[in-house]
Amino acid sequence: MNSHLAIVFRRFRKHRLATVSLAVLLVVSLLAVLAPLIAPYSPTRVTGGFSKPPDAAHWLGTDQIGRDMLSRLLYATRISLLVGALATVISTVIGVVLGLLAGYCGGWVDHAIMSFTDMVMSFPYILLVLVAAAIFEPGLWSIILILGFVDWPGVTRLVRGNVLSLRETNFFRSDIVAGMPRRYILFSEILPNTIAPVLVYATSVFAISMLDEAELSFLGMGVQPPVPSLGNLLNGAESITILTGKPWLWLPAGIMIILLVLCIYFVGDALRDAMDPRNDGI
Amino acid sequence: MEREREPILEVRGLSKRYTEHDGRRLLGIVSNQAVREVSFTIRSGETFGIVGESGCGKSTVARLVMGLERPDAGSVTFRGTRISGLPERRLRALRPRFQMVFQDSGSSLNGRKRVADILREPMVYHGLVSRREAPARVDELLEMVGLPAGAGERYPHEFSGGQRQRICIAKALSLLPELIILDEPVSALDVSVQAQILNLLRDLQARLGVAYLFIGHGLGAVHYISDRIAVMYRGRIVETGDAEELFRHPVHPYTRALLDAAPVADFQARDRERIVLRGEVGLVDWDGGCAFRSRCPCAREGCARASCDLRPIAAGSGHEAACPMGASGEERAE
Repeated sequence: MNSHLAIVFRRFRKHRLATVSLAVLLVVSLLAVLAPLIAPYSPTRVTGGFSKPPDAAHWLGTDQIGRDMLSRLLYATRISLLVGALATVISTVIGVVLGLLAGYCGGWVDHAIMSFTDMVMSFPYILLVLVAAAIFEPGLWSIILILGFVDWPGVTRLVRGNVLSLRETNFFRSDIVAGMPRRYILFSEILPNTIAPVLVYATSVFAISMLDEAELSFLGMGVQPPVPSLGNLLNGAESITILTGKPWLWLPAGIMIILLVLCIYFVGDALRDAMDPRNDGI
Repeated sequence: MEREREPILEVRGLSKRYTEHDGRRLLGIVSNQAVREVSFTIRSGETFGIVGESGCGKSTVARLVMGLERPDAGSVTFRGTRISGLPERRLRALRPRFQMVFQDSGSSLNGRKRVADILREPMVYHGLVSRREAPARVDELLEMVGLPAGAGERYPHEFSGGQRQRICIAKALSLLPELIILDEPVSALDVSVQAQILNLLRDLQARLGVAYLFIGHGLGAVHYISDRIAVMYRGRIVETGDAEELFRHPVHPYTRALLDAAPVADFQARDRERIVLRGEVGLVDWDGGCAFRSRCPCAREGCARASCDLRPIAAGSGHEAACPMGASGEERAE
């Protein structure tokens, strides 16, 4: 396994853009995690004039009620990354469990799970999230749960498809022939062979979750002020005077979202390449 | 030849039909009778060969015997226990005693595991070896199939096709089976490697006394390794008998065609009279009578109505053929 990881890492490093993206992601994550230590001000304290452009004391200026924008951006990144990561973990776990069950058990279990999956998938996505956000109290944890429970169908389909194709391989058959128990076949043979595609898919779920959080918060249905998130920082851009006259209030958050999402996609792309079992011989 | 040996596998009247939805019609189904009333017996320590062209149902027989699929009719009995229809839970305890080697060695081994782990895990699970003794047993198995002891540390993709097939054989042997089903074990390999694997299989049989069910599409390999042979055509056994006898005095026109299709190095024999098969096997459902008659050079009017059950050729020899024109065999034999 060790040497396998080494091979994957070596192949990953051949992708320049992805390597740079990974570095950027790590740096930004570090800044976000360490926000309480490095942010110059509290993100919720009024520390300067209203809507002041950037200066020496406030590098990214202040918002409409005088809070430091740099501090708010750091904390917002922290919240957005948290939302993205947890929503991804939830949807991946749900998706993997349901996908394994559907693919391995087959029959009516498969039928029931896949019908439900198709149902969730065929719902207008943003509407579902909006309705859920309207029913439950909007806030950090509800947005994490909502996104987590909405993103799993793709993972389920992916895992199920993978299990079905693994079932056709001879090593699956040879496990049956050797009289190995179900738990061994599921957890020692099938699961490790689905991790790579799931990991790749999870990167795009991560990016999509962050975008959805931004969307929802922008619409006021997500993370609620005063807690900053990249989405509700953008909220100010709803006003035309801010959009045209005060770019420091929305541009950094917008750039941060684009940067993070792009980096995550690049990393996912390189991972797909590095983990492709067809390259295993090299 | 060795009549007195006890039977370990008895297959009686095995049938399997595959049905699938016909995409062109709303409620239509297409079905294909893959195996029809196949019966044979394998005795301990012997090699029984099944030969036939692709699609004749020989691999389906292997999967049915292994309990990977359920037969529509018929039974598979292993050492007196009827294993067809046995629930998987009960079958699992018996499974180590009959193992299988697949054609495609590449997909038979989990690429993410080291060879030593692939070999060790089933043995330890079935309690055939303790965790502590396992590494020594793995090395012993690898040596038995002609691989260096250190090979266990490597991953399957680091081996060639022939070496991987050796690993698969070692994996099958690790559970101390009495019978190994070899489903075209050499068909995907180079000719030179094929011979090495066949010799390895013969050596192992001589050392361990394991019985083989050898499935192949080349008569050469099947004849080389088998004590007895069954020839299959469109899901049926059309001729069966002692390997030498079948080779020297084939009765069924299809068997003769298979023998004639093999390339011969001998120039004198080049001009021999041969049966050359024309046409495809086809998926048209069997309509009674001889299934081979559409391609058979000796076909007569009567073939459409005649029974195509196996009939003894010579009493006591075990040689049986299913040609309705019983006489055609004698006509050709010199």
